[in-house]
Amino acid sequence: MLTLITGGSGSGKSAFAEQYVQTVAQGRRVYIATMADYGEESRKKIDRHRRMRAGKGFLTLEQPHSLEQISNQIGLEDTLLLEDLPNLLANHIWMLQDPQPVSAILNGLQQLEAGCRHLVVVTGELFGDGVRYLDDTGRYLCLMGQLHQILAQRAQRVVEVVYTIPIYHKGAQPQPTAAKPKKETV
Amino acid sequence: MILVIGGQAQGKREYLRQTLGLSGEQIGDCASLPFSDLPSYPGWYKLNDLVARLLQQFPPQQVPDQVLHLALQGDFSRRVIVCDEVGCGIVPIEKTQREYRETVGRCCCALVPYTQQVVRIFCTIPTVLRSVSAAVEPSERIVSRHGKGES
Repeated sequence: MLTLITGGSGSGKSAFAEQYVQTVAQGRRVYIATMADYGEESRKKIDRHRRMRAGKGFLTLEQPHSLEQISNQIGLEDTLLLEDLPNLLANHIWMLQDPQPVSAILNGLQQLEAGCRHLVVVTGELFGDGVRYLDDTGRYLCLMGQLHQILAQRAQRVVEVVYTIPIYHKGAQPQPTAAKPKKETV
Repeated sequence: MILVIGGQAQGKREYLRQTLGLSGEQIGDCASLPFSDLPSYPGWYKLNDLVARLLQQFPPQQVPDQVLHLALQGDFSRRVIVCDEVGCGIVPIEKTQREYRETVGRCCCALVPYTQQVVRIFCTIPTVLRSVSAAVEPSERIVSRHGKGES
């Protein structure tokens, strides 16, 4: 199963996504961090997200690109929380110089989804600042839009988080699972 | 409290006037009024301008608490706060701009538990995103999870 969670900057989408995983997960919870360490600000963000996840039983895998490389570390009962898609695409384009970033990312996501119980992808709303980007950023936005369109089609649930408020654009709000989470083993 | 959000120039101020019945004098300008005057206004226009001013005096992580401090004074249950959506674009290169858009979001997140309604205006059309009969009271003050602690 695939869930896509989106929202603007500071909308509370990360906090919502973690809460969402707590609601739907039955087996292991695995956090896939795509943000590369680019200096103090990204470290602060990584630290803040680590603090938010502390004590919630997440196993963290850091994978800035090429998601298929971690598919062998995933179990069929796992719920995966991938954060986030804008970083993943940026890393494929600028870190990896990937000529086909969209298909590479879709392929990686498909492998993860096929090997787990539920894949939750956090993305961002980047399309509303009204600025016309003609350079690499314009191409980046275009590719992000392609990923959003394809993933939203594929996903069973699409949720937009607006200042902590979830809006279910596709699929219904999940009901809490009865089973207790297994303790992380790695 | 009612939080009215949406992109620029979508008709948020008109919504305050036409639908919520606020007069021009009841709407306080967050870009120019002294902070201490704001609690006496039923309408605030716009929260993002207030956040920009507060960021000149406080570090970003303290700004949501400063906003709550002002917003929960006076007749806050009848207060209507307008805020531009500024967080749905490419992450700006400049650090202060990045902090501004993220802090505006965090401030709205901090206000939501105290609202009876959150309305998003799109081309003059309102969509109610949240509607509750009993919002959180300031005495049950929630601390943002991005701030000092957990609720």
